[in-house]
Amino acid sequence: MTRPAAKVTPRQRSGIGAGGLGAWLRAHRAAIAATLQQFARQPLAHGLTVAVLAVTLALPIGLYVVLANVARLTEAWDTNQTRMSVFLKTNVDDAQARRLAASVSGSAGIANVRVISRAEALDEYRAYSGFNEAIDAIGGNPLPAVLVIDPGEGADLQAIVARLRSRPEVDTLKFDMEWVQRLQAMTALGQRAVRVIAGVLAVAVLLIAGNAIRVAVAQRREEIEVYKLVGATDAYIRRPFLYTGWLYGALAGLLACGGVAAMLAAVRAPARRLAQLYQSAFELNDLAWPAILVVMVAAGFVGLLGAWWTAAHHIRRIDVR
Amino acid sequence: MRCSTAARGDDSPSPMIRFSEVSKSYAGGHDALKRISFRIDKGEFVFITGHSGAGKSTLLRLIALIERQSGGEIAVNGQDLGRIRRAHVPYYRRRIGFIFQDHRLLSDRSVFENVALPLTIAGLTPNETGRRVRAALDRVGLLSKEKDLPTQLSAGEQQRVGIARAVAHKPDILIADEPTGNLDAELSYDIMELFDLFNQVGVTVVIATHDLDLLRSFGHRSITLRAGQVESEQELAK
Ligand SMILES: Nc1ncnc2c1ncn2[C@@H]1O[C@H](COP(=O)(O)OP(=O)(O)OP(=O)(O)O)[C@@H](O)[C@H]1O
Ligand SMILES: [Mg+2]
Repeated sequence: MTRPAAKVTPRQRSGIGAGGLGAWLRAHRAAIAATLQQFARQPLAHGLTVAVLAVTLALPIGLYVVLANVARLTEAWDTNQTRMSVFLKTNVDDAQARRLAASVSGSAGIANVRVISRAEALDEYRAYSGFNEAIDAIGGNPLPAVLVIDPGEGADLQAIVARLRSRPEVDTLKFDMEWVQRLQAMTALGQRAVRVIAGVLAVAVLLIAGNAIRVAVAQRREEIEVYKLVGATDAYIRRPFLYTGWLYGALAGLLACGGVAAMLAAVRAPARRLAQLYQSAFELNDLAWPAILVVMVAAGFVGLLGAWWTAAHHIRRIDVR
Repeated sequence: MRCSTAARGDDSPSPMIRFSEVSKSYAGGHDALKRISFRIDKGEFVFITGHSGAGKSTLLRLIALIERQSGGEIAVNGQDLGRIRRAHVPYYRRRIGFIFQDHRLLSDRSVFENVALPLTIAGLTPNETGRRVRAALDRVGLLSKEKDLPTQLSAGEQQRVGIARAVAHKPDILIADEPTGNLDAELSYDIMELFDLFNQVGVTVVIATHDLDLLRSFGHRSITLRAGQVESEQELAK
């Protein structure tokens, strides 16, 4: 009979536990493989978690993109330039409107007057509102003619307004930039609100990811026991769950950006038509790749945090029976 | 013929496992072990026997640090188990192999992957892992089944996979809690022969069993527990 191990000391025999960078890399590779395997095995459960997270993320991302576009749009307008819209009464026809325009353009302090006839107003309204059928149903043209007046440099606005108001054809008079200024103020407020909402929803992402990981740990309790039995550290067992949490966040971020991009694509053409109404070459800004990357990194980080917070706690509590 | 003596290599064998006045009370105040003392030498093969509830499993679980003693001192290979901190328990466990009656294999992993688990966890390279897994499976005669799932195997084969997993990382100590509890006499004998084989290459083996016939046919030292205390010790010749 041979005695192969008789000369071998116990120390040499139990030479297990390779260390170093190689072992560390292998552990991570194994964790990534285990994570992907889990996703492949339960695509529905994991997919659902990602979807829930994506919906949660889509709200602040969507709001942010819309507000960023509005901000960009309103910044392009020079709010110091005062343009007036003079809405005439609906019983004033286009010929009367043109006559009024001619007389106004001659008066002091007026640089330019443009007439939007009732027909033009209706066409424009049709072009961007999409209420074709509704307008047809009303029959006739409910819109008044409008004079768009640019006052000259240093003109006496009070005097111009007083003079226009005194004309019987004039119904109301508006400075166009008033609403732009209001919009700018609202946009600034909205952008601040988005930050608060994003913060609140980041907490939601943390909780959702954390809870999903808690369930995953509970489901794999027996497996974790076996791992502990054969000498796995908590860190080793935790690793695939951390990758899962990170992947939840990153995938959800990507999916949410995709959803917002689809939304933007859907409103791009109407937005362009609307911009043309204002003689603007404005184009909706899409979500750029760097922004998507930032979202993925941030959401991935929050997912990782959620996973860490629950996995560490629940794995620690599992012990070999 | 015994080789364990040769493996010890000297006349005054050093203890692999030493219990000194060890007690274990479970939550609820039940005393599973009451101040028991004994020693198991390096390379020894020892049976732990006794009636149900005598404390056999408790004793083995203390050695594997699945439970902590309530009192007394346990030393394994010179190391005081009471001083091993929680974070170091995994590293300690890598030096022992534990076999349960219910083999505790992962049912969704192949035989190969199950046996490879302790090696992968310890960070061995895939090459080294593959080599050792095949060696272990060869030892238990299941090399041809490495791709099967545990559920595709018989009870005896499953237990042998469990043994392969417990020895793949070449532990100093092999601990088995009623490893033949689910098996018929013939399969039980085969399994015990396997343990004998590992013992012959120097591994310290501790097995808890009810099976006195089996115990007699292998003829090692046996420690009999009764109500948490050592009732008797005897050395049987084969
Ligand atoms: N987790 C536990 N909590 C409380 N009491 C326990 C626990 N485990 C075991 N006991 C008690 O400790 C005593 C010894 O149990 P142990 O499992 O060590 O006996 P055993 O000799 O292995 O029995 P068996 O042959 O039936 O496996 C028993 O009275 C049991 O009820
Ligand atoms: Mg028992």
